[in-house]
Amino acid sequence: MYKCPACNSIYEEKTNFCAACGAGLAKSDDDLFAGHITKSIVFYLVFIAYIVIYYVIYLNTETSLTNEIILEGIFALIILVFCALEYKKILSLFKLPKLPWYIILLCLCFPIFSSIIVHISMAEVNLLLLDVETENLYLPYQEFSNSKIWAILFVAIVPGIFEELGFRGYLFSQLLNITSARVTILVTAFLFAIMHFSLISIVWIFPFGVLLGYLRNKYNTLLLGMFIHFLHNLLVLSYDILSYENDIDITSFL
Amino acid sequence: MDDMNTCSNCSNTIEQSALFCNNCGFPENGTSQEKTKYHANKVMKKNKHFDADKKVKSARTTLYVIAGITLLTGFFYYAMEQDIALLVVNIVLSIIYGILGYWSSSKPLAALLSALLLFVTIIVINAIVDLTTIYQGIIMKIIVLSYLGKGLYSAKAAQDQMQAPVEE
Repeated sequence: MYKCPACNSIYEEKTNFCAACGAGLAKSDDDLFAGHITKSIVFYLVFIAYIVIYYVIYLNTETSLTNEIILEGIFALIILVFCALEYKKILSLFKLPKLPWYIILLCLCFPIFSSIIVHISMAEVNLLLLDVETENLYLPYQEFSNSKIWAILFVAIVPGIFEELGFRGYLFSQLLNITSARVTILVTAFLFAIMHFSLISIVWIFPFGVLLGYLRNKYNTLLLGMFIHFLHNLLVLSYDILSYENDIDITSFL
Repeated sequence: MDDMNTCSNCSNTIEQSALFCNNCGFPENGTSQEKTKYHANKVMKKNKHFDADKKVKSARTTLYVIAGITLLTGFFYYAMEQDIALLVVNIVLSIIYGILGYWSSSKPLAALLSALLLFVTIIVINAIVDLTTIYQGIIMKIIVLSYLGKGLYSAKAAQDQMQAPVEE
């Protein structure tokens, strides 16, 4: 049962206008559109604001495990609040559909391929353009006890789960309401690329995001994206651990 | 079916006693004055949509202008400080703005949302490197953001208009 807020007439079904007073009862398409746009913008701005705060704290204080845990915890919390607003949609994306064998193969092989490309190209680009050595991902964590577990948690697991929840979960569902799947995949991949704050990285993060968006849309699941994202980050991290601890550069095997 | 009527505006079946059509809001049993008002409102809404097309066009022009300014800034700093990294970044950025501007004629929503958030991200990155850059050209930044924002929120109306058959 629905009630007209202007004249209190009661209707059995949802209608666009009240038959007694002419008041509009359904939200117009234009209002809904503006709502989804605003939600997408707010999500992205909150995300950026968090990254800025993280950078400022990271640059101005000694690295400590407590700081790191608090900051990553806040990040996870922010994403969970957004997801809670759309919990029905997001929860429905936690299922593993039947996958053809080549998709499973892709999920396993693509991260190996992408992580090697990133590992090599980042070192080259930084040296060529900025004339600096690429920062070792493992370096900030090596002084903690159980350093490898913390590094894996903060570099591979947290981004893998929560960046996927945010971009392929919340943002993707918002945009899917107002535009086609193809455009949604492109826009989320673009925003995913530029929020990494490195314009050079767009070259590989954008296609990476397109693949994750494609899988999210085709199989209606976040799990594939989370797995690929996790494995990619884990591999990039492990090359850095290898070079830090054993002075082995994986590029020498190629 | 005796007590049912057809809306003369949208042909929806409505109750005879209903003052308004529950589908399109037309005052079927209202005075002629009310009916005139309904049509006037509809025309006004259409004009708003006409305006939407203009707003998207202004946003597109803004994007081309930013693309040009970004490119010039890159070359300017290169001439001043021989900073090749900054030049490459500015050329890439300029190309992205250009592509988004071009894309905004067929997919205004996607292109303008991407452009707006890219513009904000660049401001933020510059501010991290040097906080004072926020105030540099702040009026221009606000103007750019407002043009892009207006274009973005008009994107749906503009797209509807693009797809609608041309009425004489």
